[in-house]
Amino acid sequence: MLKYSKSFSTILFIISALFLINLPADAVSDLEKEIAKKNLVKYQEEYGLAYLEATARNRIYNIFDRLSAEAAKDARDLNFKLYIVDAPVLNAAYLGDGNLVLFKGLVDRLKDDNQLAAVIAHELGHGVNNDIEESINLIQGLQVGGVLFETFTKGNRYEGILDVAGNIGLNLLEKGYSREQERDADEYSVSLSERAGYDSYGAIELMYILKEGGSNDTRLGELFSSHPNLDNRVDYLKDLVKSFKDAKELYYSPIATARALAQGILSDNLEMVYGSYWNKVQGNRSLNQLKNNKNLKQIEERIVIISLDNFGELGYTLELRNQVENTARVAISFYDDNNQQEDLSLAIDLIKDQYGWKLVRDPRIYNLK
Amino acid sequence: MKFRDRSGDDLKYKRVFLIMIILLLMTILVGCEGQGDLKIITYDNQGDLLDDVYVGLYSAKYEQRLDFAYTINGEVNFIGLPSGIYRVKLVSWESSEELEIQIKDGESTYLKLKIE
Repeated sequence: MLKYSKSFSTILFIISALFLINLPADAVSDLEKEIAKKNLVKYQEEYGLAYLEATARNRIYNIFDRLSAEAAKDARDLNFKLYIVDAPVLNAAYLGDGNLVLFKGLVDRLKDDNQLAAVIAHELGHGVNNDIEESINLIQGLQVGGVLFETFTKGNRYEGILDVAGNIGLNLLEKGYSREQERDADEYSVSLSERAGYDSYGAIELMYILKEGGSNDTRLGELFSSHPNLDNRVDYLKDLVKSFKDAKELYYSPIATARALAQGILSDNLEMVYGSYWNKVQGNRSLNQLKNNKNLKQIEERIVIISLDNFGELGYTLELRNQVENTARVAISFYDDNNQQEDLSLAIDLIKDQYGWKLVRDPRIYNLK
Repeated sequence: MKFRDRSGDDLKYKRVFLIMIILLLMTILVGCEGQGDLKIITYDNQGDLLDDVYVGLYSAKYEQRLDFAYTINGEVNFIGLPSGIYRVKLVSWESSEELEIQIKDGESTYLKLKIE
């Protein structure tokens, strides 16, 4: 009976643990708050807060305020706070529950606002992306596994459970973030810097400064971590910044995106058409798949027919028909240059994201019979 | 050498296994919910179909926008919505309207709305 009861409670424990691990966490968990608090105390006790001249301090906190106000739109449950710690190293860290730490060594080295914005935006990115919670879940999963192992081998389940919470904070500090989390934070940094009015090229300059090095200690923070490799980071940041800047020029308004699409359709430039789609749509559909898209083929056929009928070049007009909550409807009307008669009118639905205004679905034909 | 009679243990293991399967099935079933469709048709004062009306679909307490579309040829369709309560916001150049709808499992909900 005792054996049966033990087996049953063990299985129940496994199911409950797996269920709890998979529960979505919308707000900051108590565990994350506790870990952030402990880490913050640890940094403050070990190094103390840095003394900065009023001008330097105001400059840093002005940048932080601009960025965190923008980042708060993406993470309403977080109240961001910045601490500058008196350690002469080139590093920074996100401690959880909205707390960021910059080290004085890095602050002293970065003279340019855009570089400083890149660091702060990167750490804010870890907060917005909920990276601490993700790491907690991962480490919890691993440690629950360890507890289960102990349960089966030694039977001291309750001691093991207590160890889980105690060890997580230590694990987070030692292991840092995953490669994917670092990349996502870099991407967010570029996007947030641009949104807050800074030049995202600062992120690349920051990498060069980190590469030049100085006094570093990877145990103190994750910015100067060995993964991803700094050279790779510079490469993908260059691509990222370029795509942001290109997007800013091409897709800065609903009308601008509609223009790019109309030109793509008229010049049969499928890459241009594809580029005007939202990245979530692009994620589900490749350029090759777009070539066989039924809706676009129907539009192309109509364009060919009306071009042949009119023996002339087609022109187009763009009209913003509605715009609500970062979405828009634009009408593109193609007409013959010679008789100015409207021949085909398309409705496009757009959404504004970090790359500007993009199509959320295929264009549709008005009054299609 | 004395061998243990394992028939009692086997029965217990079977019971535990059965309980485990029931718990797993319950977890899966609780996670699943039915789906339904929503179709909205918009008209103007003259009874003509109205294009370019923003139709936003939100969670019951407006915490999150779940989807949006603009009417074309007077209609929008949201297919395969998990059953439950939603908020719908309609915005044209002239007016704005909000309403609450319930999507039921396996049913299509049609709404014909005159936008003033």
